[in-house]
Amino acid sequence: MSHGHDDMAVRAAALEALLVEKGLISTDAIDAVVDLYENDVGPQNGARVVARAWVDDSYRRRLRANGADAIAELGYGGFEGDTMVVVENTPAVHNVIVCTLCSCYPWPVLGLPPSWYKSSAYRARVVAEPRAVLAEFGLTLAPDVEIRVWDSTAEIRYLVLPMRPPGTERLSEEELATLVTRDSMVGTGVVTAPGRRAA
Amino acid sequence: MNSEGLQAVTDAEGPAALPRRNGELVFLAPWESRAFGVAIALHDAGAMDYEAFRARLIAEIGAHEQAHRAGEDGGAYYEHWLHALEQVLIEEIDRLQVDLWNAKVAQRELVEPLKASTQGGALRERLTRVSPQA
Repeated sequence: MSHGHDDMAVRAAALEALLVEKGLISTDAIDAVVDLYENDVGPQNGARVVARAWVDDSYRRRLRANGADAIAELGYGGFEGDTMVVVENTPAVHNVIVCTLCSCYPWPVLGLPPSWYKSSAYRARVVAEPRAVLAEFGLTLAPDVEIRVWDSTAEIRYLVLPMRPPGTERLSEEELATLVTRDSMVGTGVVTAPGRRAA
Repeated sequence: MNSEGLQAVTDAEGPAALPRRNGELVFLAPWESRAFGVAIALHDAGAMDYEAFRARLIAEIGAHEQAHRAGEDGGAYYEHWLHALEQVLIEEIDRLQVDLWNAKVAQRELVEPLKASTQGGALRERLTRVSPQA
């Protein structure tokens, strides 16, 4: 079904031209949106939230009680992040997020989702066989670790709070943030200390 | 853009490189970023019911997956996005003046691709009914 890029490009341009000419939206507004999501909004935001939760226990509790409010304390929020539920990994529980119907994803803290998150394979299989899917991402969990899969909806966005790796006690909050990967906040990875490989 | 042009923008380095995070492209081609920007700008302006758009997007994805067993890798996502956007806006077209659209349709560079695309055909069809002098 895939259309050529030329066809899609003309259709997208024609639609934009019509809407701009009719005054519904402006080219500047469109440019600003694209610039925001290409450059400013991304997983580095979520990484700061995670690092803050690791170093500040009362922040971690606030984050779990009301994700959006706690995330807003760091200055992040907005579209597709109005209601945030932060799910915390523990030695006994590993969390993974998905949107089985489309690609609902916590934009303010992670930016836009990667292609694999939007693929039919991920969306169907991570619910049905999470352990196998995570193994394909290079993440092998012990058999006694419970895997919880959270299906995002129009109403609720999830963010995984990964475990802080051992050996990072002396790192600053800023240094900790640099360790936190996008995949660890989706649940398809974990955070490892510098110089170590994930088990 | 031909395939060489697309290759140029998917190469990581160089002036034509597209923005990427974690080594991945945020958008696979510039038109994807425009389609994305249009939808969000419409929402920001209060000019589109975003949940209606999301429902259409879900329906588009579902319909495609019904028709294609193998599923897809997420690369065609913005095709579904643009289809859904066109469908939601088709319902708004009656409220828009159509003259500009007709004028653009008359321009040679848009006519052929619009004829070729289902959505373009539906939009032209709708416009012809609203304003006979297409």
